Amino acid sequence: MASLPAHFTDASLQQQLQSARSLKHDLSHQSQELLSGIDALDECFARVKPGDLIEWGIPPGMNGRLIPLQLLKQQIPLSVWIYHHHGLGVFASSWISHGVDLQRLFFICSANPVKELRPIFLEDTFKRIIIDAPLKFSTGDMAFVSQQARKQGQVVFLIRHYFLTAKRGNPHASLRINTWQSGKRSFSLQFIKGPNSGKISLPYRSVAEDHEHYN
Amino acid sequence: MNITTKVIDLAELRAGDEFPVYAAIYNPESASPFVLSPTAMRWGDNLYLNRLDDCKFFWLDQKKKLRCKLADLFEPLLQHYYGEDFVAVFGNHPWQCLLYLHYQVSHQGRGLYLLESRLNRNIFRTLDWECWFTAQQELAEHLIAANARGFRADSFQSQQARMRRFIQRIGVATPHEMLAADANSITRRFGKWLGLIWQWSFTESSGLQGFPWIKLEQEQLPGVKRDLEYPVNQWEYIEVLLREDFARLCDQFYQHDCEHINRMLWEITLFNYEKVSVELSFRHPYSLHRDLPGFDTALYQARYIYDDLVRNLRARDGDLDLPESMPFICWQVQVCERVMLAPALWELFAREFDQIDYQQIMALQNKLPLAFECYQSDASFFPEKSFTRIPVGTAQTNPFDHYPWSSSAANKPLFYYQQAEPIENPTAVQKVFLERNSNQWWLSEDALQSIRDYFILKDHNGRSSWAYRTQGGEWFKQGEFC
Repeated sequence: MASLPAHFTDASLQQQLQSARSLKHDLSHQSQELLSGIDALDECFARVKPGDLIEWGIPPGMNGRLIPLQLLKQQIPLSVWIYHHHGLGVFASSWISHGVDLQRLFFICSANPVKELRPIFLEDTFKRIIIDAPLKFSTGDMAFVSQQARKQGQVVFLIRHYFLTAKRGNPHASLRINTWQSGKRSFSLQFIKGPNSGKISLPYRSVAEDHEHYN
Repeated sequence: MNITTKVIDLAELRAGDEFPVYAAIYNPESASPFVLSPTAMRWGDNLYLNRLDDCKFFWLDQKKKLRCKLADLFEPLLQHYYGEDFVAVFGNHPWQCLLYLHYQVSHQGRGLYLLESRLNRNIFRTLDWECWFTAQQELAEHLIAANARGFRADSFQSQQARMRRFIQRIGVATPHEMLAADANSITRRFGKWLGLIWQWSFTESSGLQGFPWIKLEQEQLPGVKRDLEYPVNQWEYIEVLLREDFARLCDQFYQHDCEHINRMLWEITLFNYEKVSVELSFRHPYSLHRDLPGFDTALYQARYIYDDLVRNLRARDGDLDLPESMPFICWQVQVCERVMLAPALWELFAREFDQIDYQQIMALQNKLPLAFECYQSDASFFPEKSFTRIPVGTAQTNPFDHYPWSSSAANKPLFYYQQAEPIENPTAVQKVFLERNSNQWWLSEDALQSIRDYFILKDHNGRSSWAYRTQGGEWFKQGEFC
């Protein structure tokens, strides 16, 4: 009787099965890079991967920052929010009320982040970097930031204080989105670049706690 | 019938949380006496006194970060430096520390003792006269060495003998049993020095009160000097030379893993022989040898200083006939403040707080011209007081359920004006009332003045801002819905 090679024995098959199962297990646990807990929003960011730069168009007064904020709520890695707003400081209670873990999200104020805060981009301490309405941010800065993000597997949000248009593109950004609060009952997202197109609406209730006086 | 049982907390018996001012450390390894503080005194063979008050805030900060008791903070550090056989006594007066240390060493005690703890305080009260008098032998030697005014060894010994006879006669077993006798009456009967020792033995104050403290001088701090062969004014050249200097400085530390730098002095001589001293300071103790070979952190800080210096010199000398960018002809870099930190402290630090590597964040922060902003919520409904800014890595003090407080901020903007801006009465915009708020009205003389009515203001472009109206009818803008 021919004997079975050692690698086809029961034990070996069992090991292979276990190995295959563990592989499947690993795959099923490969989580999406950006998660908000809002299905419609998560679908839009399903293809975001480490190294991507996402450009947001959010004019002041439109409450649109609540949308990128949703992507910083679910067990985020260490993140830094670089902001520059005239005379404005971080109102931390509001961030906490939206469910942001301020032990993992740090803030720093800079008008010219690439020049002033270069070490942040040269190291991979922060896996999410949000550059909020920088006063100075050249095309060269953009190329440098996106190159560093790819090198270090970071996701960078670049928030502009104006609405983005398709007329003036950005080759470094994988996604370009405008967001704003439309009326009292919803938030709108308009996709300028990326796998999605057009516009979607999210109910106010899914983004922020409803306020009976306001709605 | 209700029966309440009080359980004695062992931790409370072991360690109180009062910060001790002095420490007496018996260290058979003869390691550095500057482990806990830069202020130390040599008391005897392998026996040193440390004044901890000088770096109280540093240790309190570390204790807060590690969320531990003082004993748990100091013990691993002392073990790291001195091995298992050290004896350390922490208290508010050096004499009390020495007395208790003497007792523990004579009873083969090992480890760390906080005199603030109930257990040690109770043992301290039982120390007998023999222990009290024996500890005075070394003190007498110090008083002679310090040439203390009015101290004579023979006279002191005869006073001691007189006091011993007196104690035998009245039959008191321990000094603590004679606590009712004040220092003045001891001075009157047995002389100035025994009166002082009596006072030191029972004092609650942290003042030295005539204790012969002789500060042990630190060895010379490391420094390097560079005479340039030709003047340089471009950062690219300065950077290369500074990197070499940091490497030389690093050699002077013998690459000791515990050495951390707080401040360095960079003394620059300019082309016109003017000397400028600038300081490279680090927000968190910086280990030079761990930054080998690039010394990025130190060079980033040097770059910020250089840019600032060049800008200031240009502004000052703009109308003079001098080079546009003033060259340097020589400089000296000297460490002016350093601290010994055991790696154990850093390892503990890195493991804490849900795997957040604060050490990495602090190392990055050392390279930046600005500090990161970190916040925690506070229990207040008043917007400006509902959160506080905290240093990076600080654990939340008194954790509490912040939901009831933070949920009140759910409809407020993410960014606010730290100084609210006065605005005209907004008549032509949509106003949505949010809440009425008052800050500690019971503390103010005019309670009505502290009441504010908060609104969301929405202009015709759909832009929203956050504003409030005082009871006097004045309007202030406090934030923007960015």
